[in-house]
Amino acid sequence: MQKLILLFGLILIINGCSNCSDCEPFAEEPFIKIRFYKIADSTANKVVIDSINHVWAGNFEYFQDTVNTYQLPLNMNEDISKFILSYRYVTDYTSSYSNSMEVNYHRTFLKRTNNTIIVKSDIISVSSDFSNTPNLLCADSLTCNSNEAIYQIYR
Amino acid sequence: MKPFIRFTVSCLLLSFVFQGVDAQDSLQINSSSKSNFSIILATDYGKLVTTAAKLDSRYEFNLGIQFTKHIRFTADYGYAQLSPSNAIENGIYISTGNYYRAGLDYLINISPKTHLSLGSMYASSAFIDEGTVEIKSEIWPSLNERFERDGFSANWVEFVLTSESSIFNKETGFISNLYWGIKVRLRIMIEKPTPEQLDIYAIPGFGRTFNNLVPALNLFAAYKINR
Repeated sequence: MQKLILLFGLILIINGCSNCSDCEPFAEEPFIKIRFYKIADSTANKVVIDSINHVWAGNFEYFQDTVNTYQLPLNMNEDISKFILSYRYVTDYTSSYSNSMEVNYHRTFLKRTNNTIIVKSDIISVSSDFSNTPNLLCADSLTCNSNEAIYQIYR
Repeated sequence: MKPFIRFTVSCLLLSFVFQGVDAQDSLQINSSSKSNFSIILATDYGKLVTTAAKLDSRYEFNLGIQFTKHIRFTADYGYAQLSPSNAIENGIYISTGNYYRAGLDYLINISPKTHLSLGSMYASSAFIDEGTVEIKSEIWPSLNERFERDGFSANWVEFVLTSESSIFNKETGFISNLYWGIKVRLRIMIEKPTPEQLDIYAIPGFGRTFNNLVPALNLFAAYKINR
C-alpha cells in the first residue's frame, strides 16, 4: 500500500504539463497595417497621421509602428471597418491630405497562452480612394490574418 | 459507449480477481460469522465548505454497498457550478452541471475501524457553460461578448485511493458507525467536447480541463449501516 501511495504521489508530481492547442500570438485587438511608399522609387514615404475618423491620432496608443507604417485597429463588433485618415508628409508639413479606406473581414475568437481571449480577423478585402492602386499583402497564403496583412500605399 | 463497456468488463474481471484473494484470506483467517454486507452513505464536506464560503457552488453524495470483506460498489452523484477565476483573463467563465460516477473498491482493513481502499470509477458529466469576454478599444466601441452553450457531456475514469476511519472510538451505538476520510483521485479524461471557438475550461466533477490527467482530493463524512 505504501508503494501505491508513493506511485500516486509521483503521478501527481509528474502531472504538471499543459496541452494548450489554440494559442497563437495575436494582438488583443485586431488591426491592419498600412505602409506608405514613394511611387518614384518604392522607398519609405514618411508620413504623420493627424487623425483617424476625425479623432486626433495622439489619443491612440501603439498605432504607429515606424515612420511609414501604422496599425489601424479593426472594429470587433462588426465585419467591416471604415477609416477616414488625415495625414501629412514629413517633407511638406503645410499640406494635409485626407483619404478613406474600408476593410472587410471575418472575426473569430482565440485564446492566448495567458488565457486572454482575443479577436482574430481574417481580412477578405480592402478598398480605398488612395491613388495608384494600393496592394494588400498577406503573410499567410490561405488567410489574411489582420495583424499580418499589410496595405501598401504608393504616392 | 465503448469506453463504458470496456470499463465495466475491466471492473468485473478485477472483482473476480479480488474475490479470489478474498477466498484465500478466508482460508487463512478464521472469519467471524458476522455479515460483511453494509450500506455506506456519505457526503463530501469539503465541497459543502466551499459552497458555504461562496467560493464555488458544489455538493456531492456517495453511496457504497459492501458485498464482501474486500469488495465495495460505489456510486456518486454531484452538482457543481464552477467559476475558475483565471479561466479567461479578460472575462468571466462559468460551467454548471451534474455528474455521476460508479465503480468498485478493494478494501484493506488496517484495524477494525480503519480502512484503506483502492478503486476505479467510470464518470460522466452533463453540463452547460456561459461567460463574457471584454476587449477594450480606443477607436471603436469596446467588445462585450456574452456566450452561452449547452448540451455538453464528458466521460472519464478515476483511480481512487481512500483512507477512512471511525470518527469516534466506540464499539456500539449510532456514533460508532460514523466515519470520515480522504480520497485521492486521479482522473483520466476519455472524451470531452471540443467546441470550435472557445475551449471548455472546467467540467463539473472533473475540474479544470488544462490537462487530460487531473489529480483531486476529497474530504468526506460517512454513515455505515450494517446488516
